[in-house]
Amino acid sequence: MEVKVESKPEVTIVEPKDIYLEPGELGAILELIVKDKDGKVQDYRKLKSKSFVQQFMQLLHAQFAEIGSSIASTYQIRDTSNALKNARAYSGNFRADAGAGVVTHGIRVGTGGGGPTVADYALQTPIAHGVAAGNLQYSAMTFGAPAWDATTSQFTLTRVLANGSGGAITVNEIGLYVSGFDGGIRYFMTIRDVIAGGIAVANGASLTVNYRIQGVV
Amino acid sequence: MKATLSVARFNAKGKLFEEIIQPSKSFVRAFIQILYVQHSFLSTATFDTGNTSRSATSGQNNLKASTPGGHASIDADAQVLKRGDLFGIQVGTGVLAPAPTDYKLTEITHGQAEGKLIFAGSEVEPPVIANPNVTMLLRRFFNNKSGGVVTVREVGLYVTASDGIIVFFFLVLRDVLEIAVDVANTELLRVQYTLQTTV
Repeated sequence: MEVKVESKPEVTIVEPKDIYLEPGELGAILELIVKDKDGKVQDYRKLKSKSFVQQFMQLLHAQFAEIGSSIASTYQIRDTSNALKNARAYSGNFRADAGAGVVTHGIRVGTGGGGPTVADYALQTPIAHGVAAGNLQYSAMTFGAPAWDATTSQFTLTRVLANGSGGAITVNEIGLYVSGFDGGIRYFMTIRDVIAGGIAVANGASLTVNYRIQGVV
Repeated sequence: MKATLSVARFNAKGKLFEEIIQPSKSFVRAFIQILYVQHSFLSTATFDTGNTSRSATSGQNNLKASTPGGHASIDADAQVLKRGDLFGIQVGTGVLAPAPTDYKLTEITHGQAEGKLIFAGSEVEPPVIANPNVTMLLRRFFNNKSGGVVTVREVGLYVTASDGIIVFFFLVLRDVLEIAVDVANTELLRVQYTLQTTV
């Protein structure tokens, strides 16, 4: 009796394994979506953010301890220009609601690939806003309101970056810059992630960056 | 960011009797909600420790966890009720597993009557940076002057947040102890949360 075993070629899309935080963890899930000029998804990445850098805990301390101006010099925090600042408790600490074209705060992207390390205070090589070669156009920040289920509470920070530079740009690093206060507004990086291999954004395409801040019971 | 919980019991002379160390299980939803208002500069409805919905908004007083001792009242800012026992590290008798929607403990309150503990100030130490970790220690002592045993089964952290006018209190961390701690009369209880981020 002749037996034939045949295989049928099939092409499927394998969804990335879902990424979760552990119980008892507060962290961030990073989502990257590249769309072409017609809105078709060209690339999708989802990963666990690796790094709240030291400025996150330092700003949290300023709020937890309600650090005032008289003692702020004891607890200096390094801002995105690499200057130590006497940051203190402030209503605008952690503020990330940057408008279109504003790159002092909000989600930032860059081309640097080193680290991340706990002492990082800025992206290694930030990408500027604009349409010149190597630049991306930063949209206004948007925020998904808090939501929760039986185990997880979360909210989302989102920014869209459009490539009108004339050439492809590879984004290797993502960060979150927030405001703080030492008598004037200062800016501090609280999260930095490096994307292994980078993510390419073709001319005419856009990159949507979602940081989903989660707390898990 | 993760947290480790330490609950230790001492006699009146400071001798350590026992210490329980366990991973903290729960950043509850109010922590996320207050981080949201700080990042977005928008408001969101958030349940305070009285289970009343408040329109939390960004504020200088948001996330305050350091307090004076119980019933101490520093009235430097008339907008802020700074009775020291109403926020900071808290202890309680509840045993239900933590859930994101938890808004309070079954509280052991400040005082010397039966079932109560004397609350010392709730402390926040500055962050310690040791690559790749950053840690921050929160600590509170409780003194049993009640005349009897007080059993602690849960611990948590209450912080402040504002609706733009008044400051309220919100549960941001809650843990049920794997082993309940019996604090005898005259004994001290030390509760510590160590928050840690790792790159």
